[in-house]
Amino acid sequence: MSNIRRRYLRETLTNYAFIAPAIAGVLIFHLIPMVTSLFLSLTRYDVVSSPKFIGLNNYKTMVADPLWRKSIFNTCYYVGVTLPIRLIIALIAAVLLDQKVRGITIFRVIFYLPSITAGVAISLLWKLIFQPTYGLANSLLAHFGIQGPAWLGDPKWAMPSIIIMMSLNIGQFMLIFLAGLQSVPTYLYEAVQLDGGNRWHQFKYVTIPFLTPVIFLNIVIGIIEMVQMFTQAYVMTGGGPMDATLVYVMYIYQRAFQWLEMGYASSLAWFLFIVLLVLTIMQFKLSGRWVYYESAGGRR
Amino acid sequence: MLVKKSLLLALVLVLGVGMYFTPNVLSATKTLTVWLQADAVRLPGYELVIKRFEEAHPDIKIELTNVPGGWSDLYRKLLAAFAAGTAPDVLYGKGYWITEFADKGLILDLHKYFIRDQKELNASSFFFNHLMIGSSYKGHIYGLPRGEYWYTPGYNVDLFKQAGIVRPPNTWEEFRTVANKLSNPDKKQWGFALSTYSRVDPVCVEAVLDTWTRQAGGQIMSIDKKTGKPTYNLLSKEAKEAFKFVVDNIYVYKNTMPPELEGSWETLIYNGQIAMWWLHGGHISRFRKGAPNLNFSSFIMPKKVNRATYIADNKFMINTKTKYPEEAWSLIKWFTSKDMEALVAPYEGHLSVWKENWKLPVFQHPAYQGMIRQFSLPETIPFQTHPGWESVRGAIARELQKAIFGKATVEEALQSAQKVAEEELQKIYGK
Repeated sequence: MSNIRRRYLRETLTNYAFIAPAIAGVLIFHLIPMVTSLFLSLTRYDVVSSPKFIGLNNYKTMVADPLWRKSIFNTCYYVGVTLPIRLIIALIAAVLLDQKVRGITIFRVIFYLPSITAGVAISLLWKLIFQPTYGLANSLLAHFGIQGPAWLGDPKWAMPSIIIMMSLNIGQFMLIFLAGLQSVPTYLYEAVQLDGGNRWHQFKYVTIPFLTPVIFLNIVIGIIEMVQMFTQAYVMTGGGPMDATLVYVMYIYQRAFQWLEMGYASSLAWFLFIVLLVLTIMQFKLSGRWVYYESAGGRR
Repeated sequence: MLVKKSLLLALVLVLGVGMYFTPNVLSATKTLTVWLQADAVRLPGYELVIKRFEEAHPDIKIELTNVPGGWSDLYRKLLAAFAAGTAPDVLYGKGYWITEFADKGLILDLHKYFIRDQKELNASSFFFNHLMIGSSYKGHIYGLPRGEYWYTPGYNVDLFKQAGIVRPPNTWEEFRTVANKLSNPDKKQWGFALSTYSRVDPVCVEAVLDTWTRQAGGQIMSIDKKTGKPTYNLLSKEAKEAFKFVVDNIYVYKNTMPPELEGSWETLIYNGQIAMWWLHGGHISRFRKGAPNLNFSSFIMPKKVNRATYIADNKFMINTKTKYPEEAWSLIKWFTSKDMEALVAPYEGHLSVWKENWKLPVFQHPAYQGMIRQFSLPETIPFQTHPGWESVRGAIARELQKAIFGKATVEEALQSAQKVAEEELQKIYGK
């Protein structure tokens, strides 16, 4: 073997050695479990006995399962209401925090801090806030003469309670919007001013179009994250009352770890994966119609 | 020379690592792993029992693992551990786990040990024998019971006195009358409260339907003695009557705390806003600490046709794959002995399975007296379960909650509960 070839081989092996841990991680913690769960989705498996092959029966059961439909409805309800609210509040917060004001960094930290606080801790705190008899929410409402609902104990109000809580979880979106705001060329604001426009016109005709890529990013991330909501439902309501907060991942958890139907739970998980994949692809395909990139005519 | 030194070093390292992971090779001490679930109040009691065991058995060391999160978490973790081959030697859990674990061959048949040592055990006790029914599966014993409990009605003595009610209710009709008298929903005052409405598990079914159906003279489940297969009948006259009694108390008579306030149950009791409630031993110890000024007691079940209720307990079980079955058996006998139950009683609150222990100061609280009288009645029934019991009862609970939360009539809820029970049984037992 020539020297050059030997050196090339050594370099290649060295490079693979460096990325071997990452590849091992992806294989062990992602690919192999995915393939295993695909196989398990075709079986009846209760953890302690061996899996029994049953073909597509789990998928057939899924389609006829009223709780599966309920969990999909609850998840769509949660994402459909919470995501727009979070985006709007995050955008407003980002615009307000994009000021050259002394101490603005402290405010940015304050707004971002809840995003890095443990979800369990926040959920427990909100559970106390929503306590119907002595919680802060009803105590405040009582001051205005309003009798508050039972919040997490009432099937009508349980999901709105979680929506209220999660709508204020804006740190991650706000940070991405802030980064996007930095990329808006300032001369365009001056151009709007020169044309007689006010701050609203600047926001509507300059800021928003330039922010469409980050809005798109936040929507994609937001949907993927929020469809997989679990901690809040598990800690605050356990999926109840009356399955009012039984979101999809909570249902997978119940089937897998409460009823030990690992095969069925795997089929539910694969359905979620396919739906998220299709949704994300669709979003990318549709993004061309409304996302503005500052290159080649503003389109991808 | 360098090679020899390296080989010697490698040999020393291998031996050292090997000895670290096999301590019993050189030591005569046997290590038993024990998993249980206990909060900060109960755990010291269990640790004390273990300490005494180790002092009495210097050749046995106990590695105790307290699994946080509650009984459901412990159950799931145990099953995962059984599947992984890392389950503990000894496990302490709910009585109704026996059926599931024994059915899957995960826990040791204790029959021969029980027969051999029955003089030592509490075998002459009515309660013990009652609880042993729940410790058995297909005629074999798989666990030893301790800490008996189930729900009996508790009541706020001061509220009764203020309303001029001289004694607790004796019948369902009296119960409703008393609850009505002590209710004022506009002022958030209720005559009665169940402690669980919205849990999708067997406890909900027991609390809102099963126990009441028994009192009405019926039963929602029977088990075929030959095949062990259960049959559910949720559409009997007694089941309808019982469930209607519970639901009407909530929505027609408005004398029962609405299910939406389940999360505030304990606070409302502490504040004197609930006059009667479902009570068990664990509640008694918790209430005494949480509300020392609460003057409460218990009474026996009000009668319809009878005063039936269940008696339940937790069980010690042994892993089939334990290396030390005799030692594990010694440990569970120790834990369930009269002296050790007496030691744990102040920490735990559950009534001891040993009648002699009922004279202990901790059990002199009035709330235990009603419980003791209730459990002494011949109508008290041991729990009987079947494989898949939790999933069937969970499915039934979901349907019953439709009526509990006012989203369906009693008839509709029972019809759909019957349907899902049959579907679940079909999944477990086939057609």
